[in-house]
Amino acid sequence: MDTGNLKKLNKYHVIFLIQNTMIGIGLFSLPNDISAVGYNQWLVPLILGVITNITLIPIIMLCKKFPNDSLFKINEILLGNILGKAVNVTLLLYGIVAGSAVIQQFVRLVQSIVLPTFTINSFTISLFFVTICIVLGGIKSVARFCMFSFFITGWMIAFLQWPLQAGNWLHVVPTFEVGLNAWMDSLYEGSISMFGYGLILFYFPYIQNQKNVLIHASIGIWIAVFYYFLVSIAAVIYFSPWQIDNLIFPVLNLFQSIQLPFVERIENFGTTLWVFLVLSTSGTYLWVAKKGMDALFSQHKNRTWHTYVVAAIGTLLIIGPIPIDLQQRIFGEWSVYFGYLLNTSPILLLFIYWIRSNKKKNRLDKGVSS
Amino acid sequence: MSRKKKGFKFKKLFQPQPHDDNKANPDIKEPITKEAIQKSLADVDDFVMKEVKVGQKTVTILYLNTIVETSIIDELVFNPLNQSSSTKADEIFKNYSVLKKDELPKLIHDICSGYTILLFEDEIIEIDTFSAPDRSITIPENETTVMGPQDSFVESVATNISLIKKRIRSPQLKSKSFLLGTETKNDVTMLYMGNIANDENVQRVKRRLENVEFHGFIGMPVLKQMLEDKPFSPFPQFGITVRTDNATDALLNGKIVVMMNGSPEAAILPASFWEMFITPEDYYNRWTTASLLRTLRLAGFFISIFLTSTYVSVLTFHPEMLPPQLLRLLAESRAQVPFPPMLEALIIELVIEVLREAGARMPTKIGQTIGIVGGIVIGTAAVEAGLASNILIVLVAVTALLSFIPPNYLMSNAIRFIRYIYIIFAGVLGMFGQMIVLAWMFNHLSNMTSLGSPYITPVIPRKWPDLLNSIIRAPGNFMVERIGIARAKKDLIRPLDEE
Repeated sequence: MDTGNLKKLNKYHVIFLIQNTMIGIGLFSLPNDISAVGYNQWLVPLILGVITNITLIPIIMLCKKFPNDSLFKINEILLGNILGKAVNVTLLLYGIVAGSAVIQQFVRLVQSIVLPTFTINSFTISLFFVTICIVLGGIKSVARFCMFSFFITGWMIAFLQWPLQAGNWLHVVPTFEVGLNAWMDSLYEGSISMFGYGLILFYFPYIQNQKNVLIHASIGIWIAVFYYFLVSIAAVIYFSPWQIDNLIFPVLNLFQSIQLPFVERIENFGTTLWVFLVLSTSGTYLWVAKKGMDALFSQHKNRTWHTYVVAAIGTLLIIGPIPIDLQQRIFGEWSVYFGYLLNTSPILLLFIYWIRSNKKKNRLDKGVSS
Repeated sequence: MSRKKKGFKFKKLFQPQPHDDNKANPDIKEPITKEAIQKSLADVDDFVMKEVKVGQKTVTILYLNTIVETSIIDELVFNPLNQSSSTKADEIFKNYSVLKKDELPKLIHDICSGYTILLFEDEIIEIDTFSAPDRSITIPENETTVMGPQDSFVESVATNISLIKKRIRSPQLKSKSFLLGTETKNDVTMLYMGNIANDENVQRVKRRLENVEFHGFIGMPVLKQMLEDKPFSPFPQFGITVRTDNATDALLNGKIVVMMNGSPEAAILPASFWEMFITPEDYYNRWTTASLLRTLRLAGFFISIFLTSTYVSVLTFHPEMLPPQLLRLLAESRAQVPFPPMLEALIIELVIEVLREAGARMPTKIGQTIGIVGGIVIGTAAVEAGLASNILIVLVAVTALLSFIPPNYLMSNAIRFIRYIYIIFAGVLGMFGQMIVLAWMFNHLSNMTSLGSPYITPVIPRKWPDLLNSIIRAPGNFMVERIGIARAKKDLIRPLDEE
């Protein structure tokens, strides 16, 4: 259990927290999301990787200015108490919405692929139960779970050998036949899969080696990008452009290309094993939400019951009496805008920090000269 | 809500009650008189109080005749008394200790521990005459190995310590004794290597032992559970062994061994999840065989929890995963079975549990017959009657065998238990349910600690040299560091700079 600003995350924790928060349910639909550029799509994860790495720089710069404070505290310091708290409410909502968005998409997938005769209630409740167990152990527990889920699910990349063998490698040759709009569209849709690295703003105070955190976070980002890259390469090789455009979950169809002598329909197994990736992502988001409640309602002091509250709200967002169009707006649109806001806000905050420290400096200079 | 208020407090349910002798502490002071002794030992039939004339004076001798043999007391007490004309203890006896006049609780405790007390007019002495019959050292029947030492611990803590001291002849082998149990007053000894064991761990064990409050311990496993970090977890958090080589190896790796008088088991603190799958024979075998067997044990753990539950989940929810031949085979075998797969699996698993439990409890001579009756008659008859599929019988039998692979009996019992959780979740939520339980289990394991060290070392925290002694057991020359979980003071096993 977190009891304060103890430095508890080592470099491996940071790498896998970054990587596993990024890879959630987005990978399932990634080749379809970035299909606007056709067969050139395997370049998109690489471009996104570079963009992500560049946006990581202001995030880490801001964190290093406040090595012992999370974004909740930074907001209160830089934006003032009232505005800071208002922004923190948004961040708290983001934590809950993004965490439940991942779970919502996953339970829908499980329902449609693995257990079509079930409603999503039992899946949602059991997933939130395990998420609570993970979050109750604090950020280190989340980080440990991320490491586990990497090693338990990462090997599934070996399944790509079947589509890679069965497809046409000539598809990979980049043709650049699409216009700028298509590229921007792909980058926008693909960027959703990259969200998650920005959460380092919240767990930065817990990192032991804050000096080299940029390198560790970048390694995490590029592991995720490497997975995205391999999956989109496999999709390009295996599918026709029409298929990529129209298959909602191309990874499922990649699973279907696997031929093992003793088992069929391996996507049942793959989809259910994906629960590790989903739990590690939603766990990190819910931890952030829990910290948000701590910041807003108990002056940044740890309260265990906040975990239950955020999990309960998250569960209600998915299975509660919410109109479906509102739900779609929350999970499909809000969570994306929230994500953009979080990952770009450090630039604004750094600007405010710069203005404030300049003012302070001027005041000091004036004081000295007078 | 303050931090102190958090969590379930068992003690809150029970208010403290007045107790005769709330602490097993013989250091409390009270004056020694014959009347007080007689009052304390009233209605103890085997209590003997004799008065013997020595010269002009009278010596009162006190002991319990059930735990002191006549020949021993004759040799150690009466003969020296008869042969001497002196009335001073130091002129009559060579081996004795002196009691102060106000140490009544200690005197009573020592009488109950087999000491003979001699009340001279001006001093009180005690002589250790404990001579209750002890079991002789035998082979470790429940932790057998083909190679290696074949002696095992017995119920006497002194004998057990001597077995360890025989192997580690070093003044650094430290021991500290405790008296636990308000009624039983068990002798509990913790052993550790002063130059290797982590000081914080030593202090932690001492503190936990001192804080144990219980009326008595019928065996080391009871005390062990009270020392563990997470009492609600299904997994054992400390090792337990009757093997002398196991305990010696633990001490050399900086761990702490706790023994109790009256219990042949020794607890090993701390212990990791992985160590529950290691036997000393891994070190006697060649590294190749040892690595193979370790891989088998870890794989056995996962197969054991997944085999039956996968049968349930696949047949209930995902029959499309089976290739046609296998599906036909299963369909034929289950054609007459009237139960859903979950119920069928639970029934057969329970039958196996009943057989196992009955086999463990019933007299040995009948046990074999029942084994045959259970295994052949029930198994074959159930399949023929159409109550269970024969494929399930095969799977359950394999699972039952696999659950015995871990050398640690408590771990194999833990596997037995969690397998039911997997089966039930597989029956309710299919493969998704299995994965949810797996995720919960990994999270549970990764948050567990043994004496404050992460339970799933070397996975977390990874200590690279530990990997040489994990699933792969590297040749002896490559193992240069002590295992990580004990956080030993000295990491290196041998001075490398001399090479």
